[in-house]
Amino acid sequence: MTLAAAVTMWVASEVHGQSGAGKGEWPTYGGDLGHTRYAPLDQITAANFDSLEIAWRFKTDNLGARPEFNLESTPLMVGGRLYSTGGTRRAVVALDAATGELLWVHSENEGLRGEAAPRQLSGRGLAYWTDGREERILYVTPGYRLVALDARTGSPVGTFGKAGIVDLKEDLDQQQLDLVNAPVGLHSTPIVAGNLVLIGAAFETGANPKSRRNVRGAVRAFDVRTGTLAWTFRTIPQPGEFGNETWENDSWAYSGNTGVWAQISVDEELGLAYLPVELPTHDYYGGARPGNTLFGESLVAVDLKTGVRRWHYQLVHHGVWDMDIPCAPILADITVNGRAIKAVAQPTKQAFLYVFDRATGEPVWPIEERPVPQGDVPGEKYSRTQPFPTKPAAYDRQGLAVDDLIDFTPALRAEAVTMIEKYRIGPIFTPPVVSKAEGPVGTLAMATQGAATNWPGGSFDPETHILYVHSQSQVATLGLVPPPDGAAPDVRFHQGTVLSGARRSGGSGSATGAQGGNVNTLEVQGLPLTRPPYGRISAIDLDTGSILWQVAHGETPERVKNHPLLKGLDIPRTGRTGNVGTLVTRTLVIAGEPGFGPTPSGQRGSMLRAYDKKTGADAGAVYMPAPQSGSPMTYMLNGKQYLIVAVSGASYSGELLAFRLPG
Amino acid sequence: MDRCTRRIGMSLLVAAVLLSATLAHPRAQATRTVWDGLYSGEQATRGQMLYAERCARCHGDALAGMESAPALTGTSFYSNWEGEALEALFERMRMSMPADKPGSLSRAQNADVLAFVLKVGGYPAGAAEMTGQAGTLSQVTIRMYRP
Repeated sequence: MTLAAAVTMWVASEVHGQSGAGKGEWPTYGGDLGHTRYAPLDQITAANFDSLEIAWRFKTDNLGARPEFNLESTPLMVGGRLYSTGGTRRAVVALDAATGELLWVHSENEGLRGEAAPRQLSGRGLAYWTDGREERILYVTPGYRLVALDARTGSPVGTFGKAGIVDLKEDLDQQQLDLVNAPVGLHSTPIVAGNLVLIGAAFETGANPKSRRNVRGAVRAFDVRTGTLAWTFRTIPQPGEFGNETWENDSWAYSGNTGVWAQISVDEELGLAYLPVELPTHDYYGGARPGNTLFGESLVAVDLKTGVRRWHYQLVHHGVWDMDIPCAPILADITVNGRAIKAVAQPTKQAFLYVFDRATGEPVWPIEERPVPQGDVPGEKYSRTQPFPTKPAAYDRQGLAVDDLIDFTPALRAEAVTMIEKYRIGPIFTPPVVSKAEGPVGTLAMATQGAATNWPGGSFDPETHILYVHSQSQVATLGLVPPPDGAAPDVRFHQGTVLSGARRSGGSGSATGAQGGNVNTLEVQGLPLTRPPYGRISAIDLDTGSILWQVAHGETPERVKNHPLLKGLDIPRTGRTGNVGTLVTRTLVIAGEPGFGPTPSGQRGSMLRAYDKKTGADAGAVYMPAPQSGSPMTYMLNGKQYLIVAVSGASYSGELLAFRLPG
Repeated sequence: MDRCTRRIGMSLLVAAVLLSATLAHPRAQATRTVWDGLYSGEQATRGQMLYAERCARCHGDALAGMESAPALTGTSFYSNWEGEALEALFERMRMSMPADKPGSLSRAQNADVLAFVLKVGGYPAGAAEMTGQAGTLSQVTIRMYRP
């Protein structure tokens, strides 16, 4: 082995572990390729968290033609440089990680292609690659082009693709796509493993498709040096391929979506990539795609080098709840009953954490097929059963029961009961209904469209084997109505109700936002329909499958705290709704509050909170001018630990905040 | 107490609480709030038409929001805007909306849309229209509950 080769291997193994971010850096979106979001840093602790101060801040307003209010990036930090996407055109910036000084910026003005993109705005971030000599940044534009930049200068790498760019609308599973208008993109980051860069696909919101025919999602790997296509994994199997028979009535031939829009994880030692696949076209009506439709809503492990399927597990059969798989599978080495298991744990919108042996796909704890409620929507063919993990227990509320309704006072509970009289409620997997004025107007359910856990996913502590995940309690209205005249001739229903009408397009940047359509429009005297907590963080011991602790995350919203009807009531911290990513360090779990709310100083803003990771006890909080909108990361530089959080909200444009201790 | 009576009772209680708050703090706020009749009914009607054409595609017919388009009414709206100057919301609209063609509405048109948003939020109309002139809304605070 030459010295150069040895150095290359050392660099690769340091950067791409499953045991957290090493060397004080943060080289990939999830800290490592297993998305643990863990860094073994201990300068910032419970003893000093409150004294954190802003080291620098970077506003993203002028990275596009207008400010962006939805900055979801987790930046990377390698070798003293911090890299992030930002702005409405998804520009890339390199900053001095100690000072925030702008080192370079790269932006693509994609014109009409950018305007037509189904996933706009700044996305979740980017990927870094090095062979020990050369360094590259890779990201996907809103218009679905993979760009490779020289990490030192920001210049496109001329030897990659065509002048630094691979057009991802070409060679997408043998489909001839309109390069400008084809509705496919990606807002998650590429993931680089070995010398491959893996790319998924995202589409327009699937609640109101224009047609049952849609672009098929597929996962592809490209050579990170040249941009040459290495392999394609078809998420919709074609005739003769495994799983094709699960698409009844030849629905494989026209159905689309089934993309991987969430983060992909990789175990380089096992040589496997873990693909969290979304559901096929139409999020709430499956009449045009009867069957279990593999690999919809399945976790699929494929060979990293070839893309060949090794194992899969379908989490939802014939889904009609938009559960998808919304976030990174988390690689976790655990010990169950004395047996060491290389596991993969999958948080979900439905508040189940599914845990598998990641080499074989065997569930670590039994997953049982249980009968589920059947619906009555014309043309629908429901799955009789769905998989239920026996461990861990669901980490947030699912479905809806009267007991879940607001209970601050008997009068509020009574009003809530009256309010939902014309709606259907039930346990998890209660299907949507055709909306009728006389009832049912819709099915009300938590942990579906109003995801318990969405794209930020969770974190894992490789030292203690505890997984941390944020979730929210949001009620969604699952109703179906005919599409507006002429809007979708071959689609029988769109999501909507007789009260709200059919849902319209998800709009530009759809599903990059914090809220889902038709979520939680039912309120009782201006208060949430359900009782608190509205958002929580759970700590789950993956050696035992038990939930160790749960805390409400986020100060009680002002509208609850100051509500005239609740005066005099002692209401514990309720938490707040939203999508929140967590970070784990040597002693702390760190996460910002979602949404604006009351802060101790009285200033409008939001708090970055720390919890003792063993007990969940408060371990400090520091003020931010706006809510956390991207998941936090941390690194060490010049002897100082930094915490970086992307913040933004409807009334505050995107900004990166860097915290460190004084002195 | 039957359910109907109970609801009336609660409404009276809310009214009493609000009235006592008003009496206790007759001019607690030096600045004006969105409760002060800032727009005319006619202006809100014009705004409604503009909203349907230019805003509803993303924010929804009921202003409830969807995906990345935030709600313009209800609790999540207040989470975003409670305590902010109305000028900030107006400027947010003027500079970055509609998302597919930012800055394409005039000041007067933005004021009309804002009037409709206030109307849907339950804030009372007044005699005069909002002009949308720079700075005129900087002393107006967004408040969910009547001060």
